[in-house]
Amino acid sequence: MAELGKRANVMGPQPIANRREMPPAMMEAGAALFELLAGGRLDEVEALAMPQALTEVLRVTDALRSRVGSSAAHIISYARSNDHYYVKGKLLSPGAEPFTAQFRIGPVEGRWMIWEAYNLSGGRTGWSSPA
Amino acid sequence: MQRMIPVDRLARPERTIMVPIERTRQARIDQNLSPQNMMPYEEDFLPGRLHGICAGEMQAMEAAGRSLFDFPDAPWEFQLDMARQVWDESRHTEIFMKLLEYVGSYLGEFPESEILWSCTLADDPAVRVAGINRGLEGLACDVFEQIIRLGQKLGDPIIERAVDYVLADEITHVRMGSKWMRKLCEGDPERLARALAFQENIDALFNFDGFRTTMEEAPQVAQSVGGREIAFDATLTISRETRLLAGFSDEEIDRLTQAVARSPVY
Repeated sequence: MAELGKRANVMGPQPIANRREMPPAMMEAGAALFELLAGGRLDEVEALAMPQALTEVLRVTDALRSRVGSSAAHIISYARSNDHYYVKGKLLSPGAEPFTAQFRIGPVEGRWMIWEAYNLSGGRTGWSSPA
Repeated sequence: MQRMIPVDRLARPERTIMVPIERTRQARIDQNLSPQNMMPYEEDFLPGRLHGICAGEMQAMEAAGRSLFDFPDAPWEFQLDMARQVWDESRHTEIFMKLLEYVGSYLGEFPESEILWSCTLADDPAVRVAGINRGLEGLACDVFEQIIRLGQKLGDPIIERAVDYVLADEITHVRMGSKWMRKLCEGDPERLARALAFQENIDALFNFDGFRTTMEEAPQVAQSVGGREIAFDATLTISRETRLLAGFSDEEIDRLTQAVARSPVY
């Protein structure tokens, strides 16, 4: 669907508000998170978990431990809940099924921490019961 | 093809971020916000509410379509009504996608919740229409009426008229649901009781634990919407007038408002 845009020469309703820009620091943090996963630096990912999210983060990192070889990280999309952001991405490795994960990250004292984690591999969605 | 598909079998593009309602609420709690829903005084209220409705319209479209497929032995006129509803909901989805752009948002800015689809999973067509057409579409009557009033207060005819146009269809959908619930349950009071119980469960689910009042009782608070300062509802509201237009009886509306008044905040 075409965006309405803000063009004075276009007839019809024009947007009454601008889109909220995603914070660059959040996007960097999301990309860095998937890079850590892709590089197998799983301890560093676990260190970003809020205490209440550690079990879920371990569920994701444990699923990755047996994965051999390097992966390429690819961010799929973002969505937000107020000032927290969901980041969905996948890891692609030659000869392996894509590994898809989704995280909710939010700022804590200047750092983007993980508040939720989902392993979406194997056809799971964010609506599936936890594995 | 499978009948009665569970929530995680709904087809979505890979980019869609799906989050169960409990998790959405937890995300709000983690940010020191009210747990239940975006409230009218929040900065994100308008885009967030329109986003939730847009996703709801999509799921309503899917639900009406699934009712056609799931109940092939239902009367032909029932199937015609469901087909008509699919068409209505698809137009509504497009309208809300345009409204999202209008308020500076877009489909996908917020996660999509499964809550509405989870309210459609009934294997009896009478129960299904009680849940979807009377429970969920009844809720839509309340929610849309509040947004129309917000549009009026803002002096914004785009929001006011677009949502009013959709509300006219929702009123028809509620009436459709009442008609089929009664027709399919003729001579079977137990089936009717099951259908009404299913609807009441859905009504209770959307009571929002005291964050919902009648339209008349809603406290007015100052808030900034779209850069304009207005006084508006501090709660989500129930619209008696709209529900009466949709064919709910005074007794049914009284029961709903009494249930809201019994919730913990009061």
